[in-house]
Amino acid sequence: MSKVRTKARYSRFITVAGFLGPFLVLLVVFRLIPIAEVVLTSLQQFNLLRPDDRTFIGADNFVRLASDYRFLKSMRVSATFVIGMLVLQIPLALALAMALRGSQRGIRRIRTIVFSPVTMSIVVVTAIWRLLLDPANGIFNGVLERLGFEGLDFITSTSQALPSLMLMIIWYQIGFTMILFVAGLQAIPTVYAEAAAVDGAGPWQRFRFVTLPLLSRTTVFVVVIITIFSFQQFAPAYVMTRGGPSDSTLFVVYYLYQQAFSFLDPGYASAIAVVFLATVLVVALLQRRLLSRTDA
Amino acid sequence: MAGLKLIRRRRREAEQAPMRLSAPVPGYLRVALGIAVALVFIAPVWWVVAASFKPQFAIFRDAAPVTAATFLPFDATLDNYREVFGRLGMGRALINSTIVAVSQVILTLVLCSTGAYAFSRLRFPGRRVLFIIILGTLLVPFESILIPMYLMASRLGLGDMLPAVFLPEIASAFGLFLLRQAFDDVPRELDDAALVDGASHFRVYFDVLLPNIKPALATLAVITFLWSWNGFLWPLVIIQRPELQLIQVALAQTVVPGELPNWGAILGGATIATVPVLILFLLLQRYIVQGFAESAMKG
Repeated sequence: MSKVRTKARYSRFITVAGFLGPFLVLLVVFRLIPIAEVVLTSLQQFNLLRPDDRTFIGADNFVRLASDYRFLKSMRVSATFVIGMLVLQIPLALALAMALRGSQRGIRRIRTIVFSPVTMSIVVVTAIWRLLLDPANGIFNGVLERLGFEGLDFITSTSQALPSLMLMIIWYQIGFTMILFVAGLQAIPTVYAEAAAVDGAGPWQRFRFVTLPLLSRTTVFVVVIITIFSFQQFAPAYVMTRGGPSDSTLFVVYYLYQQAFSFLDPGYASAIAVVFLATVLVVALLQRRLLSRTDA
Repeated sequence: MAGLKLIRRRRREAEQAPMRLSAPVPGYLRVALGIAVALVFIAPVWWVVAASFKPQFAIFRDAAPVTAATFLPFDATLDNYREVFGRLGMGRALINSTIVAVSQVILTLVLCSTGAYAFSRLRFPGRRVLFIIILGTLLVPFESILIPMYLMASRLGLGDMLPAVFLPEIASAFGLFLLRQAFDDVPRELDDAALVDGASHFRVYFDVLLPNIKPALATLAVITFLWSWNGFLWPLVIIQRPELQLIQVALAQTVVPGELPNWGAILGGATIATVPVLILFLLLQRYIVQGFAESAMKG
């Protein structure tokens, strides 16, 4: 009897292992172990080219971070970028979604067009925008001149480089944000707006006091997504600006990459990674908190 | 009499017509605005494709001030593509990217669907905790574990090989989650009947359940292809040999910050790197838009 049961248990184990084993092995090797290891390497000092020769240095890397002005600058650049994205992209995306929320064929087609850059790679978008933004021969200055303005310096100026990248990323991502808002808007029953209209509410009042509160779940979600996406920026700095001019576009992830793969200091880069990861996790937890509150 | 008719008609219209709640903007203005919005997103891409067929002097000549010629390839030439495929070797990069993306799609579908079957249909201890751990990994951005991933790939002897690009990505937590939901939506009576008839779990998985979740499989396949094709940071780090370079990295090398850009190479490279995904997008946009929204909601 017990032998039969052991055998059944064994064959069940084989079935589960056969179905889930390959997935689990790869997940452990390429996700779970690295997550644990990044905490370890952040406490070590070693050369990327000699990864077996490591010294444990405790929290020294983190102490160094606190007084590294380039790291602090990179946190400021990323924070500025995140805030710029939230303040500029969300109202624009919501306006687009309000205008394009219908299901008529023409409107659906415009939505598809607005969304299409999302399917392109960030490298392609950055390479294209490098040319569009070119101070001497770019289309943007071509348009400005056509309208009778003087051309701008864009990415060659410390004050205009980051805003130029913001503009580019808004162009790249706004279709995605818009789709999220359209989905949120379509989920709101029209009876509320109709009731408000019967009570004499104008279009703006209906938007402000009916649509916006009912959309808050989507809005919170969009805020968190944009925050995390913006914090993860890397390619625009690598491809277009190399963090410059004068570190004005030094995103945190680009600084992390530079420390690890240009300066070959992966221990220090891991400390940056841990700070980065902690920030993202805090934002994600905040998301859960806010979302569960808006449920009430 | 006529007045009465009019009142009746008005009342009928008021009852039948759905209440119009959109902002009171005249129709022609809405159309004009719609076209303007569409142009903002089409024009740059259109310019890239058109200019990629121009010699450099014509690109500059047509760029400022902007006229119709900016968007039309007069003086058409294939010189840029000769450079892109010849000296810059992007043909090789296109092949490498295709190998990586196709392998990644196939292996992701296999691993995620078998894993999802286990979570949807098999009972085993620790199932719930394991699923939560797998979902938890979605919260960890790839950039934060870049260094240990690099060390792990080198340790396993994968450095500078194409499988190093896709092997770490195929155990996709998002894919597992997506397919598990699809499996959960298939009624259990279907597989119970097959199991009673003596079919093995593999038969149930392969012959009964997989055909029932084709839309979810298509969504995952398309999204995975896009992620793989568009991926940049990981291939940049893990592949050094020029003959193994992927298309995005090859394109990134044509832009050298601080130097004057090689316009022809960027325009031609951007076009060939984008055309495959744009075609895919236009053919399968249903799966893509829905899949992106879902992936965000779950991520």
